Amino acid sequence: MTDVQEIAQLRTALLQMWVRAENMVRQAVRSVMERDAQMGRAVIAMDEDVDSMEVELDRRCLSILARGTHDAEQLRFVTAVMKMVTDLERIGDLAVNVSERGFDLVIGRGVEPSPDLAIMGDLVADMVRDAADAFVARDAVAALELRERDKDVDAMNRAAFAQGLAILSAHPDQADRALSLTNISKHLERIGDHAVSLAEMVFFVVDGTDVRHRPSPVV
Amino acid sequence: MKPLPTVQVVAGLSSILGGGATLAAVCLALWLTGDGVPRGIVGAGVFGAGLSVGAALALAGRFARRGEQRLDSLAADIERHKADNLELPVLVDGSDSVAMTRLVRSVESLWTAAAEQISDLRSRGEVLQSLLESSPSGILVTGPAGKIRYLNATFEALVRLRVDPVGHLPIEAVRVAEVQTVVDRALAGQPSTDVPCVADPYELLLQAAPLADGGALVLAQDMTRFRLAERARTDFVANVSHELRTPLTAILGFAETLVEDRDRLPADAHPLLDRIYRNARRLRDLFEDLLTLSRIEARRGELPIVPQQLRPILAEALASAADLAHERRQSFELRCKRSLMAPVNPEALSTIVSNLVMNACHYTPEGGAITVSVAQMDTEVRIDVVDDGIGIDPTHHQRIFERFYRVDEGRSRRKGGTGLGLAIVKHMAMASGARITLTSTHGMGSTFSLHIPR
Repeated sequence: MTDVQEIAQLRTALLQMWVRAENMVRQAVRSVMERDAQMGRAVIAMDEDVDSMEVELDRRCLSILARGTHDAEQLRFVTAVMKMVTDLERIGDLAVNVSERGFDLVIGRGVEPSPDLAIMGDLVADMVRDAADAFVARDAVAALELRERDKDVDAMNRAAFAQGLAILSAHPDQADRALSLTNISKHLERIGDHAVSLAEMVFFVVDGTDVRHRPSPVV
Repeated sequence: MKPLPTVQVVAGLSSILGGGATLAAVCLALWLTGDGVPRGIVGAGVFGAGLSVGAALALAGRFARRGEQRLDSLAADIERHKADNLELPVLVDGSDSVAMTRLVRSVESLWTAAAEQISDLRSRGEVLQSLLESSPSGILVTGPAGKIRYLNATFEALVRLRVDPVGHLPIEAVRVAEVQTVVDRALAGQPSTDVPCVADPYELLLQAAPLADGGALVLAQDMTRFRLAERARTDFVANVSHELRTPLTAILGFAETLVEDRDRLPADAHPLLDRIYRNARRLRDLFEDLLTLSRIEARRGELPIVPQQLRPILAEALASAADLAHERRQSFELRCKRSLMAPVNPEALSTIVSNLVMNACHYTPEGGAITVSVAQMDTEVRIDVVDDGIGIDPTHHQRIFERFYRVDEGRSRRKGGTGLGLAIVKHMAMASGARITLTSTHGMGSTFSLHIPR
């Protein structure tokens, strides 16, 4: 197989992993909002796939690099994929964490997840999806827009934390549920960070510039 | 300007050609006889010959140009009409030669035949298109390179399209990982059946097949409503069983009291009381089984599994059927090493084995033997419940684990079973990550095997 064919396959496999990670986030949030333990377990089961995809994609990248026949653009792509799979795998892990904290809410009654949590879940899942859109369309500008959206997610997380503290002081008997909810919010905020990291890698693939830890360049 | 009719042109030119040729012939004859040719006549002869050749060339050129122009205009007419519609254009021209007219007629008849076929194909295509569009299944077709060629409205409604799908890979447009997987398999010549996947918020079932042109066809069925209905059914059965159990407990309790004091009742009431008591117990068993099934279904895959010593669990399960076996003078044998461990849920395993052993007791003749043996393999631990009873014909094997399925309706009722025992066994096995199989021939005993992955 030529480098071009192998890179085309790598791209398809990466998108498959990407879609799975996005799906895990959406279902994890839904399992929490609907107190659906069965859906939560399905998310946990999906994590195995995402983990093995990470290993498989890394293996393919190394085999392309080892051949040494790639050009500069292909090298950029392959190294970016190796970083992106790590982000996607972490997103999968965080979705599992969200589902597991959701189990705490299935049993018993008390503080329930607020609608804001569902909005936050949609926001971060959309960020993961839109990073993939930017990757497919090779749209560097769209990729960097995700940085701005992540600020909204951070703000929502701070609000959820404050709300959690308020519940803790007002209803100490609900401490377990309040902590689970703030943890879920924290996990979602981390998923947002990984979506931004993916977007920065998309920018690197398209534009060739490494924008990590730097202000967005004028494109 | 209307061109001169061909006949007149030909007549005029032949007279000029004819005159020139005659003059040249006279000069040639005089020279050959040696009579000498007057200078004036020679000049006239040369002029005549030249005139003839020139006129012939001019005529040929004019005909050739005219033929070429006519063919050009014919081609332009055809081109223009091809773009507009399939109606037969007016191609024939009154000034055409016979050969040209024949050519034009041939083109016309070819045109008519082609137009009929194209219109037929178009209407077939339209029918096919509306069939595809109105199909309740989502349909996606790719070319040999895996790029989407067609995707119907149903498919579009089931998935979130991120780009205009045509010309893109499925994963780029549809964003359901399994769709790409089944397409890749189909492109490699492998069909796929019943692949479940989630296209949030829908639950889909995918089928895929390779196409003759090297492309792939994917069908997607929406299972969301089916799954919701399934959930509603389970909830309904659980609720109804629970609600009915309460009045039944009262009936059963009072019937029991009456049975204990039966001597105080008139003798002709005894058989009636027995029937009330027997049927009330049957109803209680049925509700218990239905509730058990609902609980397992609701908790699918949730049963905690830990490595356990198998022998004590199996011994306890056998003990639960000891009374029945004793009554029927049947023998039990347990073949399991004391040290043997396997990852199981103890309650589920106990329920499974005691159900299987009870069944074996019911369907094995008096004095028969029932054996529970455990085999340790590379990838699984297998627990066999073997009897030498009446056996089950292979035609029933497929359905025997369904709720209320009975091989012999009459006999099952006499035995007092609820018809749910094997359904509970199957669901318990699934919920604890194991699976159940049956090997049996009518009249030759049965072996139910529980396969527990290691």
